[in-house]
Amino acid sequence: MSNQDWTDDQPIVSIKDVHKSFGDLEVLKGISMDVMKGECICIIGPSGSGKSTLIRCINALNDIQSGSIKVEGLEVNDKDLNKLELRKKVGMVFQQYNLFPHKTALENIMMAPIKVLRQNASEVEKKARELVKKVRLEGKENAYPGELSGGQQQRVAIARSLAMNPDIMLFDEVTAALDPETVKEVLVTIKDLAEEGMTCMLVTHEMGFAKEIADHIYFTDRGVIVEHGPPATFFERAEDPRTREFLSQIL
Amino acid sequence: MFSVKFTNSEQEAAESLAYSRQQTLWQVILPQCFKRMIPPSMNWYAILTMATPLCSLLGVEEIITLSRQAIEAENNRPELLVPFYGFALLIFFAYCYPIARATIALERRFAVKL
Ligand SMILES: Nc1ncnc2c1ncn2[C@@H]1O[C@H](COP(=O)(O)OP(=O)(O)OP(=O)(O)O)[C@@H](O)[C@H]1O
Ligand SMILES: [Mg+2]
Repeated sequence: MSNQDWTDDQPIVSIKDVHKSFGDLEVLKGISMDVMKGECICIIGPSGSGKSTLIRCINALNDIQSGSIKVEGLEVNDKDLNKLELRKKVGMVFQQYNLFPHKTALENIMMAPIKVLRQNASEVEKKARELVKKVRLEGKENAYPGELSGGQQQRVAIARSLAMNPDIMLFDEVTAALDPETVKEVLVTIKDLAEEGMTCMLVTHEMGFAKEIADHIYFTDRGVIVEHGPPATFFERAEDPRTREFLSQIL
Repeated sequence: MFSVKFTNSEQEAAESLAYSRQQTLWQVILPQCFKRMIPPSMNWYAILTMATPLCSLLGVEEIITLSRQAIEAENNRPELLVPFYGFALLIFFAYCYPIARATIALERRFAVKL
């Protein structure tokens, strides 16, 4: 139950036999996976297979009916869970960016560390400016979200999550709403992160990208993990007909 | 079967950044509501002001009724119509124009480009 005894030779995220329903609709039917610190895993699968639901369960945006999700040893399926403690460890980036429209790019990045972590404002600003640079948005500090392109907004959203210094980053189809030209700039940012050793879990339709950066790929269909493996074997030797059909449509 | 819950996407983003419910409300939801409320509510206020003469139907005394009574008291001399009603108009203008200016200023301050 406690996270005192977690060490980083154990999975940083450990998911065991998770079931989740919305009303009568069972969306996750016994999902298990382990992610080690510094790993980058990709979840792929057809629309409605439960990818977003799964990833949202990890930071308790969705609750689960049964099973266990442990993040650094912290049990998420626990009614006494301190959600704020969990969410300080886990950053999340959404398909629709979800920036705060009444704040500038820099303010979006600075708000949570100041208001939630109560860090010193001038230090936060210094760090925020470094993050702006890291996501390659120098000069856009004072722009409002509505004045930025989709790709730029998404990079602000990534920087906003990173400002909280998370140990794990969740990405839910973060390039799905972008123009093909801007997809790349966001993928480069994620790739940099993964290469620096950030633990990343991403839902994506970008197979080329998944192949390039993932340590492990999971294929989900109708609430179960049908098949998984490292990219080399996954793409070359997918065995399940559902996986093959999906890959043949998308590649 | 469904529980109706007020969530918007910015609220979820705030939650995922470990904002408490209170913080989400004050930092994220209310500022946006406020911004969206200013222009309509201010406009309504100005419209309401100009619509007050309607209340005279209910016997409330207000400036248009008073102007007409003043003109009647002067034996309905037609040359008084323009100055008397013009004066009423000036008073309306003096009252509503600052409201309109303030609305514009507030809208600019809370500018949200969506
Ligand atoms: N809040 C909710 N209430 C009821 N049903 C939901 C809710 N969220 C998701 N669902 C249902 O759960 C199923 C899985 O949804 P989910 O969003 O996890 O799919 P997905 O794999 O992310 O699909 P996509 O690739 O289209 O994003 C869908 O059938 C969806 O309609
Ligand atoms: Mg989804």
